[in-house]
Amino acid sequence: MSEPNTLPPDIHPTIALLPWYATGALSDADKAEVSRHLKTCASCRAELDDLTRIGRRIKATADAGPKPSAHLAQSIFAQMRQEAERGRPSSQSSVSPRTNLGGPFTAIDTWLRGLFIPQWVPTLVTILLVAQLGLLVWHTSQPSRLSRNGEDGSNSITGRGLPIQTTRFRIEITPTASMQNVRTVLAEVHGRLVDGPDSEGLYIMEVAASDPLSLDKYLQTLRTHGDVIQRVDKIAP
Amino acid sequence: MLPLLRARLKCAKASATRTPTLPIFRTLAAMDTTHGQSVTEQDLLASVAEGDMGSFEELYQRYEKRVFQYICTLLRDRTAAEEVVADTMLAVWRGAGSFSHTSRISTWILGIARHKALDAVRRNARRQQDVELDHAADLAQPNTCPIDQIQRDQLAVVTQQAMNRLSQDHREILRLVFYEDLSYEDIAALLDIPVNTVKTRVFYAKQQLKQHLSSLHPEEPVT
Repeated sequence: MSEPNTLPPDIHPTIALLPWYATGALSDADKAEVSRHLKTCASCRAELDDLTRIGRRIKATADAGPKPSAHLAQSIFAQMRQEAERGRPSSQSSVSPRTNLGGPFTAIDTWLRGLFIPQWVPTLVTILLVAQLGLLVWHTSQPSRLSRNGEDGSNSITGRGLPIQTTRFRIEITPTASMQNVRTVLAEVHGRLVDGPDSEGLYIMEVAASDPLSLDKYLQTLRTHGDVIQRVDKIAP
Repeated sequence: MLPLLRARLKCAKASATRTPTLPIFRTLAAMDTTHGQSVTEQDLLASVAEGDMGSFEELYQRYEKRVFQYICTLLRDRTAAEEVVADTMLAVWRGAGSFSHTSRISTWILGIARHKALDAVRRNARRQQDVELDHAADLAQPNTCPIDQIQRDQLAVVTQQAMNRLSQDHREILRLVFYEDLSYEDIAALLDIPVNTVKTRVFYAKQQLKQHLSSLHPEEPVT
């Protein structure tokens, strides 16, 4: 501010209170003091008239002045409603018509929404999801402990469940057999081709069994299909 | 809506029992939406604190123009001023429960507005263009009584132009005194300056305004 911090020396100090005397914003003590002074001071009375007139002009100008645009109020009220909606207790929460499917759906929907009322629920869900993801990544990155063909894990099969006892057969498929016929035979013995054909045209078949009784049964079944399986030998474990 | 009805009833009661004052003060008080209605505003604010949106809408209607114009004295950019009005009124909505009742509600609201406006000034310091906020266009309204209205419009336009020529501090303090009717103690608290500075600033602001009015409209003496 370039103005001095004191009033000019040639004016009455009471003049400093006149603006508030004009607007009626003085305390009773100040008002009484100014009133007493005004009775004997013509220059302060003139200053009061001046201030009163200027005050009226300022007030009239502001009265005629602009308001903020109407859409501002709408956006403020909309934001307030949103905030109020977010902070609304569960007992007052309503199901919107869009999601109101009626009957058990509404009950399930209401129950599920109720679970998300506490503010910490989203945080907990996020933590659980991240932990689960971390566990999954860690688990899949571990080398398999179920090595079937060697200690070093080469040619190993990654098992995700309990180890299953299997037996392998070397089979020779007749050249005239169709794929459909082969699939039918494999289905009968619950087997699958895991390797082959090798240089001799032999395939490795695996069945999920190791007890002699089941293996004999499977062998017999395979041999009855001579039109499909030309030769079958059990591979020593 | 019950709290709002209750507040309106109290307002009507307060108006009916108000003591008559001298004509000049009555005129000024009649234009003031705070004086004589402080009880009602307190009730309104109490309802707002309870989350009553109707009461807030009522409070908003009372203050939107005052807050907007006050912010315009500090920002002089209409769009930015509207953003600050929104910030201010939302702060009132959120903070109604924390109002300490140690000051007038108007002072509290204007205080929030002032801080938000100064924040906006700081934030937008780089891109702030000192847009001349000339309300002259806004002041021209359809005339109901042609000659009187034209004269009033002209007077308002000249006054606004003179106000625009003042420094921000002078513009602000004149508005707080003559439009907001704040006491010098309230103004000192609001602006965080000594009471004596308030008094001297008003004195010099009035002198400046008078000079500008005379230069803009020499035919019509201010005094």
